[in-house]
Amino acid sequence: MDHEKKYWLSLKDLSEDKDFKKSLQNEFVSPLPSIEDVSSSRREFLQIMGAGLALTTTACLKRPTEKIIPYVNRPEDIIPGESNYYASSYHDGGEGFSILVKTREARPIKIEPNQEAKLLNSKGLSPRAHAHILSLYDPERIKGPKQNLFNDKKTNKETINISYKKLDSLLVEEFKKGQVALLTPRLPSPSVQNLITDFKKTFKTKHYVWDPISMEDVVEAQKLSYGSSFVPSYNISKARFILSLNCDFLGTYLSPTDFQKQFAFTRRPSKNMSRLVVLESLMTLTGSNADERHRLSSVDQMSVLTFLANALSKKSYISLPEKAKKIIDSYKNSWSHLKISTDKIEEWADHLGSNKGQSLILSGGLRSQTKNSKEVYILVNFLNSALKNDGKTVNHSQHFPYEFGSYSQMNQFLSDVKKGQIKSVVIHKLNPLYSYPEKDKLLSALKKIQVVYTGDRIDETGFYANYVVPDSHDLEKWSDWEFKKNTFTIQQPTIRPLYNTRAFEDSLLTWIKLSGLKKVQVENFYQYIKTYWKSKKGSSFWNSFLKKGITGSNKESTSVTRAFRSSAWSFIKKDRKTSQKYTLTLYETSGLKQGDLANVAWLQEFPDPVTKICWDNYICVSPSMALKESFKEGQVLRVHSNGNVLEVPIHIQPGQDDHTLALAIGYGHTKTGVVANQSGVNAYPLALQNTFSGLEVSFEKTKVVKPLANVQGHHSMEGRDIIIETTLEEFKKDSSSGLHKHHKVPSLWPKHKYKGHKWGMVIDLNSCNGCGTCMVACQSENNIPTVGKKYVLEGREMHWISVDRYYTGTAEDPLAVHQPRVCMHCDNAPCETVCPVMATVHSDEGTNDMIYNRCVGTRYCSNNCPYKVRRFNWFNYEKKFKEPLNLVLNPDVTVRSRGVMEKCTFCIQRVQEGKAQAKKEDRNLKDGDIQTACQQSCPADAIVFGDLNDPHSKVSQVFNAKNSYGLLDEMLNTKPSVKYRTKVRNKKKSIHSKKGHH
Amino acid sequence: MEREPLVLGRKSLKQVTEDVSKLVETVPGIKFFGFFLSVKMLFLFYIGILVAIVSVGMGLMGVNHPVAWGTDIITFVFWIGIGHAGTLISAILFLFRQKWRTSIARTAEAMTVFAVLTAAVFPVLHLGRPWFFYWFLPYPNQRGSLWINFRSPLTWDVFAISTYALVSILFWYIGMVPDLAALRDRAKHKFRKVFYGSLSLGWRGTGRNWSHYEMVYLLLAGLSTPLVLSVHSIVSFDFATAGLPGWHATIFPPYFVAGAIFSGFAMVVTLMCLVRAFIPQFKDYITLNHMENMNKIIMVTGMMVGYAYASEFFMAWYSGSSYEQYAFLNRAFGPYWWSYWIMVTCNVIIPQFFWFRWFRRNIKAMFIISILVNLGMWFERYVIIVTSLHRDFLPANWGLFKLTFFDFGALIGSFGMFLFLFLIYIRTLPAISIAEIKPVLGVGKGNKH
Repeated sequence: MDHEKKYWLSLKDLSEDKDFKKSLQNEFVSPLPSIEDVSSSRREFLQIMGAGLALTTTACLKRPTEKIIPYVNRPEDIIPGESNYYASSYHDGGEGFSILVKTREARPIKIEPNQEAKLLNSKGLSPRAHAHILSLYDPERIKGPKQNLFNDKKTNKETINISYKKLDSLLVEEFKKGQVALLTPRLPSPSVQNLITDFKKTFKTKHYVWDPISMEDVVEAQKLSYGSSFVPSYNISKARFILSLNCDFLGTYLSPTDFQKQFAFTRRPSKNMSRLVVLESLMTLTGSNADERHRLSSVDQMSVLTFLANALSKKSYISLPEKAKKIIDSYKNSWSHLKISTDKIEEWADHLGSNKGQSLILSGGLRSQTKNSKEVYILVNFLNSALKNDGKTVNHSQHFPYEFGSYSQMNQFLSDVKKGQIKSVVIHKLNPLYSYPEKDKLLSALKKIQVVYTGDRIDETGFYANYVVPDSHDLEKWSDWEFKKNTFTIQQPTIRPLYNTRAFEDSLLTWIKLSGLKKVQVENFYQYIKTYWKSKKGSSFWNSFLKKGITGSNKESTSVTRAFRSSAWSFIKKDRKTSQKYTLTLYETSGLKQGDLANVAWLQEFPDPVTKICWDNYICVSPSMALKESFKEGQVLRVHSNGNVLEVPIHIQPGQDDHTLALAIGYGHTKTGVVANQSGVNAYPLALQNTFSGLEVSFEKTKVVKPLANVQGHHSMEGRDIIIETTLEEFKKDSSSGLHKHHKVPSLWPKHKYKGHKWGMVIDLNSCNGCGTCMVACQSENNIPTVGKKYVLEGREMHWISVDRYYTGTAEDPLAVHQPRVCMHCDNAPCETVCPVMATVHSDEGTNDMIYNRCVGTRYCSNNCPYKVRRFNWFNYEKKFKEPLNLVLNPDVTVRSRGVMEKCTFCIQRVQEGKAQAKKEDRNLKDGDIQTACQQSCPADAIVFGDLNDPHSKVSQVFNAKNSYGLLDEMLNTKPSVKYRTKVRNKKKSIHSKKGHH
Repeated sequence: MEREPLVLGRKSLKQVTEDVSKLVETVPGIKFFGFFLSVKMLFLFYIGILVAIVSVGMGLMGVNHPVAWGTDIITFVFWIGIGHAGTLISAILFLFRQKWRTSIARTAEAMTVFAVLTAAVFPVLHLGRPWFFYWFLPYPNQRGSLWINFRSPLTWDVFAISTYALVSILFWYIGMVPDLAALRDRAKHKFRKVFYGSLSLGWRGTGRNWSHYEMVYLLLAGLSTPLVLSVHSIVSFDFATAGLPGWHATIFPPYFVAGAIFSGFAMVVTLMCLVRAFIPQFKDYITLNHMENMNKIIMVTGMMVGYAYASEFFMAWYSGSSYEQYAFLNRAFGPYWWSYWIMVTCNVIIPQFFWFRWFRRNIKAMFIISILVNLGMWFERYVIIVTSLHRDFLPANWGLFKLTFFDFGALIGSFGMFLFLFLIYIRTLPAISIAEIKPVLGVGKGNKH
């Protein structure tokens, strides 16, 4: 027997398994684990599935249900999703437009120019015309008539509601006593004037017409010179040489939109291109577009004009009467002080003399309105007459009809109140306790009488009115207008009044009726107008008037020359020395003008076309004055003038006269609304009646700095090829002068193929004057929010189109160039490649599309965009569209939420609409069917948009013209779908000193 | 020539285990708790800032038009850069058999992991809609044919950073397993037993365990090595592939990697100085020789970075592009000149002190220098991002960038997060690799191994 113990590890060992013996040699007994061993069991699988299901279902909460409810009875003319357009009008001081109001589901959403209105404005609107739709939905409008209860001192104690019935009976009772006054601005409306006459007859009313921006001196000068008391219009399109003295006719004077259109017409680079010389104290839009610009203080206007008159007579272009010679001689001493070289003035005399009947001397507007501006205007009238411009470039037959407001009438009103001749007053379309310079005087007068105010809010005047009878918004009521002599437009309401408001005209009519003093056939003002036009043009006329929106004679009135009355010379006094060191000029901006639309955020955030500052007014000083007085940008200056003190931040403005300080009116409301109340100071109290320029001023510095919200970061092109400028002479030789396009830049990407359309745009920098209307039009079309001053300062404004203004030349005597900048829709778009989630992609029609709901907001696209046209939603701006402001939103354009990028889309919604329309009508898309909002709003017709694949389209004909260029294309090879055409100035000297290479 | 010992104090094997484990096994003193609580407060403040930004909007921060990237991206690049030293020490020095790395590797790796985690917050935070950050990931989804854009450097970032984070965490953790097992075995408390027991993945210390371990460690080291170069190269593509003057440069990848190692080592030095100061028994392990080696690397990479700065200027001039030239002149003399000169001073001039042995071996001096280097590196990213963006092609777009309260909050708060994680780590996990130290105990002690 074998007694030897055998130790064994396992049965396999015991049985002396060979494989096992072998495995004992290895260090590791068990095989290495492999992936096959880790399969989970069926139960585990079910467990995991169950957990997953639970997790996913709890994460997905149900979205709130939004119901779309169809009309039960669809109104006849409303198709959901389709826009209706109504012809209407917009009135704005001297300017008036025939407009089309775009409505969707019965709410007005946008103002567009009426293309039928060839007599007035077939193209282009003003920024204010676009923006005034927002005032319809102003949340601060009052919702019905109000009565103010006063305490003993006649300051407002409480505002209570009152019914129309009670109000009307109270007022009619009061009016019947007589001694009622009507205080309005100029109302160029035939029917309204008729109605006012009826009202005056009924209640023995006196009607006082006053405008804060008064044309009094211009009218007065016309009266003295020609015996006609109106403001003439100007045929700028016929002028080949324009000399403007402190007249901002492209920005603010009279009807700038019309003038812009005409001016652009004369600027085509040909041998007939006009030449504009501007002499002005502050940099204006007009000055920035000049071929030659010189600084001229408004107090020196007479010296220049007398020198010019002398030169013209010396060169025997005109003859001066004896009386005139004496006066002109008296100015001789002042000529030696002129900062403009006399050679220059003699050169202009030659231009004026050789272009008789085709030249124009312009002066007018607040910037020129000094104490003796009447004399300036008379002399200008004389020169225009002597140069045979009257009746040609000075268009007096199509003048601005109806009485212009004047300060003398306001003074009359005040003295009539003082005398006790007035017991109550109806104030309409004015806010005099804001805009009348001598506010205290007016207030004490108003406290003596009963005040009925038709404003739509308890503002500065409304606060002291006994009754506030809110006038309906222009888009809610009927009216007709005569902006130009013999050109009539209709104003249709486009929505039922949102609140319990009543049109001023209906109020007048009601009061006339209730008085029982006069029989009225009609029920309301609508019928009143209808009857008026029926009686004038017959019954069939009405409907076509509504459809077209405009009527009038197309005939160009014969150019009758008015005789200049030599008696006018006796109103020009001899030179009297002014020895002020500094003078103050108050001016209006093209955004706010007199300030009536100050509560419209679009206009507050609309940057001034020249300074590019928004949300504030500021005191402009020249760079050399700033250096001398060591002023800093934004430093607050305490300004004393006319016994008033204001604290305003300083803006150092290139091109400003060294002895002029300038401040804009229209800002600094106190009770108008949350938007209006936060911006700027009220400059009206510094005015001396209708003297707005050459005011005495003194100032002291403070240590406070109030930063100004400038939307533009830098104001020089730093020698870069951004805006290519050339002179007429060089352009005539070679239309591509200034450009150099010879680099062939290779691309790594394959070219895009565009089989259908390929959208493109060309912006003519030579036509563009930089007015900025396109910015507001775009804002209205594309639901672009405003952000407020704080965030503009942080560089977060949202405008999809911005108009860049660069100064050229020296800081003392610069010129400026303007460049509207939209998304370039590059073929090689730098933004498209860097977006990680493909939220911005190229369409097969050449546009660069932004997909908002895919965007996560990395902002890489913005960083990589060389044009920086992308805008980011830093906050939830959609919250800003509070009721009823949300009604203004365009339903065709997505409202963006926070955290997404947005930018110009080439108005893709309009492109789609145009394509759908063409398809519906079974035809091909025509050139011009699709207009972008900016293009449509441009008075100068500087923007052309269309299909580049259509060889006959307007845009494809200019896209590859010799003078068009893609911005930065030469450098970056982005292949933009937007091109610019070079700017041409009518100058002799070469701009391009260096034909440099980069 | 006799080598200097890597570990001072003639430690026995038991002593090593004791020294390292003591930190984890004792209750920290009042000093530590004071420091920890203040760091925790900073971390909570940071969370508050993040919540505010996410719920109100990016508008709270200073970013604007044209400077659409600001503190978030600057600080992101800063933290990602910091992480590089850890990977370099643990992976590349490992592959090159640099034995001195053993005593600092663990903490450097931990620093990498925490830096990457801190950094990872920022790309999400800077999004306009951070709740959709997962849209960056290419996974089959129900949103139609939506897919990500593989041409975008931001997409590359997602892969680069997530890979980096995963590999660093794995590497750090795997390396820790034997030490965790040692802690488990020493644990007297049930909770500690369970905690370290589960973390040590059933480590038995068998030959088989060690064999697998070494293989995995080697593989991971191999995997991490290219990451040291790739991650920051890809981060630099965010800038280099853009067309912006000041960003559009081919030098960016090597320049960024050098900068990352530079700042990473500076951060390791900062932390090690603190560790030496607060944990005296570690002075024997983290010796002045270690510090000196790292300071040498700082000096070398600092000079590489300085070379990159100079060559950028040369390229701008040589390119002949006025936009490029302007961008660089504007960097040095524009409105943000001070940031540029802070960067140059801290990154190029200050590290030159390390030419002197005294500075390389003086803890106070190197502590100050290392902090200045990191300040300089934060400003380097500030200079690259802000000065390039604020003035680009069209002067009309030019703007300025100002830090708001929320920018400072996010920047300073991120240190709260980093230090919070680091302090938890130092008292819960073995801060020096016990297992790796023991084999090198003999170096320089005459024992021929």
